[in-house]
Amino acid sequence: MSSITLEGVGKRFGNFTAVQRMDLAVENGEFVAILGPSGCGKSTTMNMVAGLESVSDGRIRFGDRDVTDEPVERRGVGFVFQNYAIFTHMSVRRNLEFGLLVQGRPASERRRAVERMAEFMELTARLDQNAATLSVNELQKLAIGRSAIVEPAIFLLDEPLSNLDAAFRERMRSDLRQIQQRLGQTMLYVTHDQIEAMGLADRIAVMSNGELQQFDTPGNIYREPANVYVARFIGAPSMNILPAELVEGGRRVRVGGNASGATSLEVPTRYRGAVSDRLARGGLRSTSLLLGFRPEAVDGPSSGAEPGSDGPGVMRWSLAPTLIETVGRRRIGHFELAGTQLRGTWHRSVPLCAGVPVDLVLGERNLYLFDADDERALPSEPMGEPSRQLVGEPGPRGGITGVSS
Amino acid sequence: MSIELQGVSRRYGDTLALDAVDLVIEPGSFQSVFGPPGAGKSVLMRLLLGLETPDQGRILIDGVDVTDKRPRERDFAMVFQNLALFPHMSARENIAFPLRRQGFAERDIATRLAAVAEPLGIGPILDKRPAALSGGERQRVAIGRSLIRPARAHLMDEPIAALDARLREDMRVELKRLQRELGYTFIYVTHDHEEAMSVADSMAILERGRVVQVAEPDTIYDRPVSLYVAELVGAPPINVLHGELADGALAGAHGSVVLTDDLRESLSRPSASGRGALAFRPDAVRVVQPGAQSCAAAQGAALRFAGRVADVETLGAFSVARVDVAGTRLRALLPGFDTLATGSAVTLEVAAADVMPFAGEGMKRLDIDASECVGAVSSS
Amino acid sequence: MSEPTLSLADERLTLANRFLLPTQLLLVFIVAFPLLMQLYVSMTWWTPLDGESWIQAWRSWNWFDNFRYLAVDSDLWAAIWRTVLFVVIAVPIQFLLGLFLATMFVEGVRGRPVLYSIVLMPMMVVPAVAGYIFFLVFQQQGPLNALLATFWPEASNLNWLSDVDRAFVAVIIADVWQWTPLMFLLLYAGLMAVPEDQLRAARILGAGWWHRFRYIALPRMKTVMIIALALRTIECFKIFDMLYVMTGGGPGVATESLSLYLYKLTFQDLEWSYVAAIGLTVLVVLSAVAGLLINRAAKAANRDVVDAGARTPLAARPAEA
Repeated sequence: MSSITLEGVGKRFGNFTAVQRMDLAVENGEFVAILGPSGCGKSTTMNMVAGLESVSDGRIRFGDRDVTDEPVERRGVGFVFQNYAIFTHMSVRRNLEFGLLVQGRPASERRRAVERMAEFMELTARLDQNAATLSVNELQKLAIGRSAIVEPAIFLLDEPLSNLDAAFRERMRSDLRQIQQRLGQTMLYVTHDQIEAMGLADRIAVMSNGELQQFDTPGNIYREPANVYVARFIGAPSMNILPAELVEGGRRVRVGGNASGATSLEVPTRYRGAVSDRLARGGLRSTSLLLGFRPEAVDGPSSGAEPGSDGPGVMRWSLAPTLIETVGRRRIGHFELAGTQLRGTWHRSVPLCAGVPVDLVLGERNLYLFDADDERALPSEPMGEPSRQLVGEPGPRGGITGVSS
Repeated sequence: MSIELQGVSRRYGDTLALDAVDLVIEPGSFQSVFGPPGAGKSVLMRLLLGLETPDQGRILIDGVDVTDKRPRERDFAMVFQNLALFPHMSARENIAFPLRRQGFAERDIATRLAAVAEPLGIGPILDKRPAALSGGERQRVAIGRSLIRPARAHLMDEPIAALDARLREDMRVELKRLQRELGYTFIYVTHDHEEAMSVADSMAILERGRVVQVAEPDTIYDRPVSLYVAELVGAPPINVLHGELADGALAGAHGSVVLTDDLRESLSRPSASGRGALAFRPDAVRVVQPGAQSCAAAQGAALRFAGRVADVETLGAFSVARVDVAGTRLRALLPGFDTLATGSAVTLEVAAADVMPFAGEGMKRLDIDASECVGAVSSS
Repeated sequence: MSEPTLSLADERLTLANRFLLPTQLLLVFIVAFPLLMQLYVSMTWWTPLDGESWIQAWRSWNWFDNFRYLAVDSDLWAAIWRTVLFVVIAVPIQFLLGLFLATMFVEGVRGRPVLYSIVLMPMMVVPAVAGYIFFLVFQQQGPLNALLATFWPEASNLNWLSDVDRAFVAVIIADVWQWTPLMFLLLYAGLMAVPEDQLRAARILGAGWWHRFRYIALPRMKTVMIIALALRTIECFKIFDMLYVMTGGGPGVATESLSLYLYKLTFQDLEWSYVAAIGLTVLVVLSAVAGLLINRAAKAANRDVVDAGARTPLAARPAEA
């Protein structure tokens, strides 16, 4: 078990840069998810760590060991493929002991290790069955067990749940989490599903177009996204982003230009420092901003403002939804404001009808400001209540794996 | 132009793929057909399309029996799971193909193409060949090709399954918008329950070849006619307590749950004996921390459990807490981020109105009338 | 109510039958007719020396006398023995060589396109021409001896084609040279069908090429290997043109295969009815052998299919046991 360090690691295929030089430090025993859409470079990064791809730049270290030039067979990584790649013509026992078999371990030692691992993975009953007859849950455990039995330094998982129905994934996610906790293994997990990443990882590395966008805990990525891309990628439906501008000498933010429906509010407290900075330095350009808020933040009284208050720090709209999606317990209303599509989510008990106006109320804590040119979040000063909820009732803090306050 | 299946059955060797299916699809509605893999959804589509003939039953379009008619005569448009794009034509030509064949005027074709390309987001790639497109782009082109021509109905078999999660969410809304604007009838097969629910006017649930419930998504969610249906929709999955029914109580691994009067009444019916189950959705579970005041009395909690938090999954806007209670594990949905500490003791309460009782073979819902479950649903 | 039209499935069947009919008729004519003719002649004493056409063969009807004779014909059995020995040595050698080449290609040897053409070339040569090439090569004054003589002077005295044992060896070498490419092709195809991701998984678990081959590739190649062996065994059994040109069956009868023996019987001794009997017997025996082997292959393939069925998309599998 060891830590993983990527220093300036990049990959090029001819003229095409698949992965731009990046630094990443994964702690011992940590579960890190690499999250991004298809083609963002996450699989290539994973393959470089495994040794299936060579690096074009940089070094890769497992703990103190520089493995950049070591071939796959000798790196000692555990790898779980998207389709598990179980040896379907062999028994479960054979699959499990394969890694030890090729190392030349004696049969008695192999037997003991296999039995221990089978018990750990709850596969003992299936040991002598053909591996191809296993259910998907068991296949996942077998794939992990097969890799874990040789006690690799690190574990790599390449979208192992992406082939499955949403219904099964939840179950498999919890199994995976439990296994990781019990093994205490350092794990690197590639996925395009942000719910998976949020649910499983201690920290998430968000990638897009070969570039690392943000590397932080799920909580921080959700609450303080580094740029528009990350803000929109995490959270479903994704964050609403509206063009906005600074008015009244930088004291207020206006959304919606000059059209009807335009609203303005005071610049949220935590951004005031950054805004005055920007104005002092630049000219007109620095007044173009993007305003963001999450759809779930519009839900009534929990938005951080008293309903009915028209205070300066509150954004308020009354809009009629053009379309309503009902997904189980959520209602998603689609709105249009000044040419931009917006979405808000409510609990299904809230009556929502197409064409009937509804109030969207947002407190300043739920509003985000980004620079319209480079789409990066404006630097914000930490506010007095670091663990304040964005939505929902506040609860006790701390003690939950993976979430830092 | 309503489409109707009456008593349609299809058998493959020993397997009965479809069993006496009755379904009415109203014109201009967005009808989703939902079920796990192997339930018979694709077989239903093939029979509707005319690629195969049913062993029994009839298929009617507007009252006319088309069971023996060829696909060409039925005038349905279809988006296949395996796309079937013409590799030697550009995306634009692929999409325009059906209209060209029917002899539409070029200007007409161009207008329709633009109307369809924009919501699907394929404007920039129209001049590329399929080989140069990503899987997601190809799928959208295939959808465009199906949507461009008016047809009696548009059949779609998991058309957006291969797209990334984010794109899927956007696409299903666009499809709904297009359906509304164009006024077409969509028959939409999917195994993703969110997709099936979010944009449909009516959902038809299949279980091993039989239609078990046809209703609006809200009804399916609130009043599932059987445990099977209840477990199919909703994320996180619904909580279920299994046990034996006796004397108005459900006895199982969780101990014996004594019930309020309404529940007991449903469970005491003659049809309710033997194996039974109580189900309630995770968002209906109230988590009460020790020392906090329970609202049980005021809100009529039908069920109460004492347990310990095993695991909390924080997923952004909400968290899922898995709590170990007497012999089983329940899921509770909590708003917000920092919620519970693993290992802490909590009490879970569920209001009577949120508990769904099931019993008997097929775990049928005890408190609703069976005749409510299958019927035509009109589009709103 | 509309006219009942043929379902799509029925239409396809009719069309299929219509396409197959000409071929079926042709096959009947090409295969069945000569076979019946052969059966007829084999039960008589007829030879062209009789002066009559074969239709009159019934005049010398002898039922199964030909067959009885072939059971005790020592020349025949010696030829059969020699052929069997030849097959049993040559085929495994070409198999192993082909397997070795296929493995090397899959593992990624340099200059594959060029190497590919070189490896396949021997198979492209007409067998008779190949026979002639080796005839020249194995001459006592020929290139082979010259090459060997560079480090073993005695070699220039070696006589290949006039020595009973060495001629046999020479012929085996020629056959292996010509047909290893076929084994290579078949086994290469089989090797390519081994799932790449399982090989990668094995690699990551630390398996080198030998382990990957032995545990992953080999078990999955059973069908292909059986087919390759069956194919070459049957063909090798019938070897003729190469031998005829290279040694003519000599020295003496040292390299006289079954086919050569039959050739002599037919064109030297003109024992046509006897040859017909032998031909039929060989046909029946080889068919039985081939049938057995193919049956074995089909069973192994079935196991692979169940295995492939196990490769069903994960989404279609049950979630819990």
